[in-house]
Amino acid sequence: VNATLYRGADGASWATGAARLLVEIDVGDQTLPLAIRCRIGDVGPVHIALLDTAASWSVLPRELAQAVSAEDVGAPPLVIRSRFGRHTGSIARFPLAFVAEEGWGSDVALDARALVLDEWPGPVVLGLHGVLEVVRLALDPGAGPHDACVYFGPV
Amino acid sequence: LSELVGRLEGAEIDGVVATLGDFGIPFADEDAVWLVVAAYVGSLASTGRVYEARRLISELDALGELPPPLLAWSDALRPPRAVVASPGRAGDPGRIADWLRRNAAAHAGLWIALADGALLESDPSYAALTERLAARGLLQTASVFRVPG
Repeated sequence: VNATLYRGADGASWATGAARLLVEIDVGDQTLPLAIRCRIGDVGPVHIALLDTAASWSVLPRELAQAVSAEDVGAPPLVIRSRFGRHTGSIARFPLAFVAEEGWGSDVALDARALVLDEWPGPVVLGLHGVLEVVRLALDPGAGPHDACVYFGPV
Repeated sequence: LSELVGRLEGAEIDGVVATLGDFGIPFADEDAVWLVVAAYVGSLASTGRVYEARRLISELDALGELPPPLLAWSDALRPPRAVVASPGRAGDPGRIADWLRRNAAAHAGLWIALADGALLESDPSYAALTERLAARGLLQTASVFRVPG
Protein backbone atom coordinates (compact mmCIF):
# COMPACT_ATOMS: atom_id res chain seq x y z
CA VAL A 1 0.00 0.00 0.00
CA ASN A 2 1.31 3.45 -0.89
CA ALA A 3 0.51 5.24 2.35
CA THR A 4 1.67 8.65 1.16
CA LEU A 5 -1.05 11.11 0.20
CA TYR A 6 -0.06 14.31 -1.57
CA ARG A 7 -1.42 17.84 -1.66
CA GLY A 8 -0.88 21.01 -3.61
CA ALA A 9 0.85 21.73 -6.88
CA ASP A 10 4.27 21.01 -5.39
CA GLY A 11 3.25 17.50 -4.38
CA ALA A 12 4.11 17.89 -0.71
CA SER A 13 3.30 14.80 1.33
CA TRP A 14 0.05 15.01 3.27
CA ALA A 15 0.05 11.66 5.00
CA THR A 16 3.08 9.47 5.67
CA GLY A 17 1.60 6.31 7.17
CA ALA A 18 -1.56 4.24 7.31
CA ALA A 19 -3.21 1.45 9.26
CA ARG A 20 -6.46 -0.44 9.29
CA LEU A 21 -9.11 0.80 11.70
CA LEU A 22 -11.15 -1.27 14.12
CA VAL A 23 -14.75 -0.41 13.27
CA GLU A 24 -17.94 -0.77 15.31
CA ILE A 25 -16.54 -2.96 18.06
CA ASP A 26 -19.22 -3.98 20.56
CA VAL A 27 -17.78 -4.17 24.05
CA GLY A 28 -20.57 -5.04 26.45
CA ASP A 29 -23.22 -2.33 26.50
CA GLN A 30 -21.04 0.05 24.51
CA THR A 31 -19.81 0.26 20.95
CA LEU A 32 -16.55 1.77 19.81
CA PRO A 33 -17.43 3.38 16.44
CA LEU A 34 -13.76 3.78 15.48
CA ALA A 35 -10.67 2.50 17.26
CA ILE A 36 -7.06 3.01 16.27
CA ARG A 37 -3.79 1.47 17.39
CA CYS A 38 -1.19 3.65 19.06
CA ARG A 39 1.88 3.29 21.22
CA ILE A 40 1.69 5.13 24.54
CA GLY A 41 5.01 5.79 26.25
CA ASP A 42 8.49 5.14 24.87
CA VAL A 43 8.23 1.37 25.08
CA GLY A 44 5.52 -1.16 25.77
CA PRO A 45 2.58 -2.66 24.00
CA VAL A 46 0.38 -1.16 21.32
CA HIS A 47 -2.88 0.21 22.71
CA ILE A 48 -6.29 0.13 21.10
CA ALA A 49 -7.81 3.58 21.62
CA LEU A 50 -11.14 5.17 20.80
CA LEU A 51 -10.63 7.66 17.96
CA ASP A 52 -13.04 10.42 18.93
CA THR A 53 -12.86 13.51 16.75
CA ALA A 54 -15.78 14.96 18.73
CA ALA A 55 -13.90 14.83 22.05
CA SER A 56 -12.18 18.03 23.14
CA TRP A 57 -9.62 16.18 25.23
CA SER A 58 -7.83 12.88 25.10
CA VAL A 59 -8.17 10.70 28.18
CA LEU A 60 -5.77 8.33 29.92
CA PRO A 61 -6.71 6.22 32.93
CA ARG A 62 -4.50 7.12 35.90
CA GLU A 63 -2.80 3.74 36.18
CA LEU A 64 -1.75 3.79 32.53
CA ALA A 65 -0.45 7.35 32.90
CA GLN A 66 1.64 6.26 35.88
CA ALA A 67 2.96 3.20 34.07
CA VAL A 68 4.25 5.28 31.15
CA SER A 69 5.59 8.03 33.45
CA ALA A 70 3.31 10.68 31.99
CA GLU A 71 4.45 14.03 33.34
CA ASP A 72 1.89 16.24 35.08
CA VAL A 73 2.30 19.74 33.62
CA GLY A 74 1.28 21.41 36.87
CA ALA A 75 -1.89 23.11 35.71
CA PRO A 76 -4.91 23.23 38.02
CA PRO A 77 -7.41 20.36 37.78
CA LEU A 78 -9.76 20.36 34.82
CA VAL A 79 -13.40 19.32 34.88
CA ILE A 80 -14.95 17.57 31.89
CA ARG A 81 -18.31 16.01 31.17
CA SER A 82 -18.59 12.76 29.24
CA ARG A 83 -21.07 9.97 28.65
CA PHE A 84 -19.85 8.59 31.99
CA GLY A 85 -20.64 11.80 33.88
CA ARG A 86 -18.51 14.55 35.39
CA HIS A 87 -14.78 13.97 35.89
CA THR A 88 -11.93 15.98 37.35
CA GLY A 89 -8.41 15.31 36.15
CA SER A 90 -5.01 16.77 35.48
CA ILE A 91 -3.23 17.39 32.18
CA ALA A 92 -0.10 15.30 31.57
CA ARG A 93 2.28 14.91 28.65
CA PHE A 94 3.69 11.65 27.34
CA PRO A 95 5.07 10.13 24.13
CA LEU A 96 2.42 8.79 21.75
CA ALA A 97 2.73 7.29 18.28
CA PHE A 98 0.14 6.39 15.66
CA VAL A 99 1.41 3.02 14.46
CA ALA A 100 1.53 2.21 10.77
CA GLU A 101 1.20 -1.30 9.39
CA GLU A 102 4.22 -3.00 7.92
CA GLY A 103 4.73 -1.73 4.36
CA TRP A 104 2.21 1.09 4.92
CA GLY A 105 4.62 3.95 5.58
CA SER A 106 5.85 5.25 8.92
CA ASP A 107 4.56 5.87 12.42
CA VAL A 108 3.79 9.43 13.51
CA ALA A 109 5.12 10.36 16.96
CA LEU A 110 4.20 13.31 19.15
CA ASP A 111 4.58 14.67 22.67
CA ALA A 112 0.91 14.26 23.44
CA ARG A 113 -1.15 15.81 26.19
CA ALA A 114 -4.18 14.20 27.75
CA LEU A 115 -6.43 14.45 30.73
CA VAL A 116 -5.51 11.86 33.35
CA LEU A 117 -8.55 10.58 35.24
CA ASP A 118 -8.66 8.45 38.39
CA GLU A 119 -12.03 6.79 37.87
CA TRP A 120 -12.42 6.42 34.13
CA PRO A 121 -14.50 3.38 33.16
CA GLY A 122 -13.90 3.76 29.44
CA PRO A 123 -11.05 3.10 27.03
CA VAL A 124 -8.14 5.35 26.17
CA VAL A 125 -9.57 8.24 24.15
CA LEU A 126 -7.74 10.18 21.45
CA GLY A 127 -9.43 13.57 21.14
CA LEU A 128 -8.71 16.93 19.58
CA HIS A 129 -6.56 18.95 21.95
CA GLY A 130 -3.14 17.55 22.72
CA VAL A 131 -3.31 14.85 20.02
CA LEU A 132 -5.47 15.12 16.90
CA GLU A 133 -4.88 18.86 16.48
CA VAL A 134 -1.38 18.16 15.12
CA VAL A 135 -2.03 14.99 13.12
CA ARG A 136 -3.66 14.92 9.70
CA LEU A 137 -6.16 12.09 9.44
CA ALA A 138 -7.93 10.77 6.36
CA LEU A 139 -10.53 8.06 6.91
CA ASP A 140 -11.17 5.53 4.16
CA PRO A 141 -14.26 3.40 4.86
CA GLY A 142 -13.14 0.88 2.24
CA ALA A 143 -15.49 -1.92 1.31
CA GLY A 144 -16.68 -2.41 4.90
CA PRO A 145 -15.60 -2.71 8.54
CA HIS A 146 -12.74 -5.12 7.81
CA ASP A 147 -11.38 -2.88 5.08
CA ALA A 148 -11.51 0.57 6.66
CA CYS A 149 -8.23 2.35 7.16
CA VAL A 150 -6.80 5.66 8.28
CA TYR A 151 -4.01 7.67 6.70
CA PHE A 152 -2.02 9.94 9.01
CA GLY A 153 0.81 12.44 8.91
CA PRO A 154 2.22 15.31 10.95
CA VAL A 155 0.94 18.83 10.27
CA LEU B 1 -15.67 33.28 41.65
CA SER B 2 -17.86 31.06 39.48
CA GLU B 3 -20.22 33.95 38.85
CA LEU B 4 -17.28 36.12 37.89
CA VAL B 5 -15.85 33.48 35.57
CA GLY B 6 -19.31 33.14 34.04
CA ARG B 7 -19.33 36.85 33.33
CA LEU B 8 -15.83 36.71 31.85
CA GLU B 9 -16.66 34.03 29.32
CA GLY B 10 -16.42 35.41 25.83
CA ALA B 11 -15.04 38.74 27.00
CA GLU B 12 -12.03 40.34 25.37
CA ILE B 13 -9.24 41.64 27.57
CA ASP B 14 -10.80 45.11 27.96
CA GLY B 15 -14.02 43.43 28.96
CA VAL B 16 -12.16 41.25 31.47
CA VAL B 17 -10.70 44.32 33.17
CA ALA B 18 -14.10 46.03 33.26
CA THR B 19 -15.76 42.95 34.70
CA LEU B 20 -13.10 42.65 37.40
CA GLY B 21 -13.94 46.23 38.34
CA ASP B 22 -17.64 45.34 38.54
CA PHE B 23 -16.76 42.71 41.13
CA GLY B 24 -14.66 45.10 43.19
CA ILE B 25 -11.32 43.61 42.14
CA PRO B 26 -9.07 46.56 41.28
CA PHE B 27 -6.86 46.00 38.29
CA ALA B 28 -3.98 47.24 40.46
CA ASP B 29 -4.27 44.12 42.66
CA GLU B 30 -2.16 42.16 40.24
CA ASP B 31 -2.04 38.83 42.07
CA ALA B 32 -5.82 38.73 42.42
CA VAL B 33 -6.30 39.64 38.79
CA TRP B 34 -3.99 36.90 37.55
CA LEU B 35 -5.70 34.29 39.71
CA VAL B 36 -9.05 35.27 38.27
CA VAL B 37 -7.74 35.29 34.71
CA ALA B 38 -6.15 31.86 35.30
CA ALA B 39 -9.52 30.58 36.57
CA TYR B 40 -11.08 31.96 33.41
CA VAL B 41 -8.50 30.15 31.26
CA GLY B 42 -9.31 26.96 33.19
CA SER B 43 -13.01 27.43 32.46
CA LEU B 44 -12.24 27.80 28.77
CA ALA B 45 -10.12 24.63 28.79
CA SER B 46 -12.83 22.69 30.65
CA THR B 47 -15.45 23.63 28.10
CA GLY B 48 -13.31 22.71 25.10
CA ARG B 49 -12.49 26.30 24.10
CA VAL B 50 -8.76 25.67 24.07
CA TYR B 51 -7.95 27.75 20.99
CA GLU B 52 -9.63 30.72 22.69
CA ALA B 53 -7.64 30.06 25.89
CA ARG B 54 -4.41 29.94 23.89
CA ARG B 55 -5.25 33.21 22.15
CA LEU B 56 -5.87 34.93 25.49
CA ILE B 57 -2.60 33.60 26.94
CA SER B 58 -0.75 34.71 23.81
CA GLU B 59 -2.20 38.23 24.06
CA LEU B 60 -1.27 38.47 27.74
CA ASP B 61 2.21 37.11 27.02
CA ALA B 62 2.71 39.88 24.48
CA LEU B 63 1.99 42.45 27.21
CA GLY B 64 4.79 41.20 29.47
CA GLU B 65 6.07 38.19 31.43
CA LEU B 66 3.32 35.72 32.32
CA PRO B 67 2.77 35.19 36.06
CA PRO B 68 3.02 31.61 37.51
CA PRO B 69 -0.74 30.81 37.40
CA LEU B 70 -0.79 31.47 33.67
CA LEU B 71 2.60 29.94 32.94
CA ALA B 72 1.20 26.58 34.08
CA TRP B 73 -1.74 26.93 31.70
CA SER B 74 0.55 28.09 28.91
CA ASP B 75 2.54 24.86 29.21
CA ALA B 76 -0.52 22.65 29.66
CA LEU B 77 -2.29 24.01 26.59
CA ARG B 78 0.75 24.19 24.28
CA PRO B 79 0.08 22.16 21.10
CA PRO B 80 2.28 19.08 20.73
CA ARG B 81 4.69 18.62 17.85
CA ALA B 82 4.22 15.63 15.56
CA VAL B 83 7.00 14.06 13.48
CA VAL B 84 7.40 11.14 11.13
CA ALA B 85 8.90 8.26 13.10
CA SER B 86 10.12 4.74 12.35
CA PRO B 87 8.69 2.57 9.56
CA GLY B 88 5.47 0.82 10.51
CA ARG B 89 5.63 -2.72 11.89
CA ALA B 90 2.03 -3.39 12.91
CA GLY B 91 0.08 -6.30 11.48
CA ASP B 92 -3.50 -6.62 10.28
CA PRO B 93 -5.83 -6.02 13.26
CA GLY B 94 -8.69 -8.00 11.76
CA ARG B 95 -8.39 -10.94 14.15
CA ILE B 96 -8.11 -8.59 17.12
CA ALA B 97 -11.36 -6.94 16.07
CA ASP B 98 -13.03 -10.33 15.67
CA TRP B 99 -11.90 -11.41 19.14
CA LEU B 100 -13.16 -8.19 20.70
CA ARG B 101 -16.55 -8.53 19.02
CA ARG B 102 -16.99 -12.08 20.34
CA ASN B 103 -15.41 -11.85 23.78
CA ALA B 104 -14.95 -8.32 25.06
CA ALA B 105 -18.23 -8.20 26.98
CA ALA B 106 -17.10 -11.09 29.19
CA HIS B 107 -14.00 -9.08 30.20
CA ALA B 108 -15.70 -5.82 31.22
CA GLY B 109 -13.52 -3.68 33.44
CA LEU B 110 -10.34 -5.64 32.69
CA TRP B 111 -7.17 -4.79 30.83
CA ILE B 112 -6.67 -7.40 28.13
CA ALA B 113 -3.69 -8.22 25.91
CA LEU B 114 -4.21 -9.80 22.49
CA ALA B 115 -2.01 -11.16 19.73
CA ASP B 116 -2.85 -13.11 16.58
CA GLY B 117 -6.53 -13.09 17.50
CA ALA B 118 -5.98 -14.77 20.87
CA LEU B 119 -6.07 -13.58 24.46
CA LEU B 120 -2.60 -13.51 26.02
CA GLU B 121 -3.42 -12.09 29.45
CA SER B 122 -6.12 -10.21 31.33
CA ASP B 123 -6.04 -8.42 34.66
CA PRO B 124 -7.83 -5.59 36.50
CA SER B 125 -4.40 -3.99 36.98
CA TYR B 126 -2.48 -2.57 34.02
CA ALA B 127 0.83 -2.91 35.91
CA ALA B 128 0.20 -6.60 36.64
CA LEU B 129 -0.80 -7.25 33.04
CA THR B 130 2.31 -5.67 31.55
CA GLU B 131 4.53 -7.35 34.15
CA ARG B 132 3.28 -10.78 33.03
CA LEU B 133 3.61 -9.84 29.36
CA ALA B 134 7.20 -8.72 29.94
CA ALA B 135 8.00 -11.97 31.78
CA ARG B 136 6.74 -13.91 28.75
CA GLY B 137 8.63 -11.66 26.30
CA LEU B 138 5.36 -10.49 24.74
CA LEU B 139 5.29 -6.83 25.75
CA GLN B 140 6.25 -5.51 22.31
CA THR B 141 3.97 -7.78 20.32
CA ALA B 142 0.74 -7.46 22.33
CA SER B 143 -2.16 -5.14 21.65
CA VAL B 144 -3.67 -3.88 24.90
CA PHE B 145 -7.17 -2.60 25.54
CA ARG B 146 -9.15 -1.67 28.63
CA VAL B 147 -12.64 -3.07 28.19
CA PRO B 148 -15.15 -0.47 29.41
CA GLY B 149 -17.16 -1.46 32.42
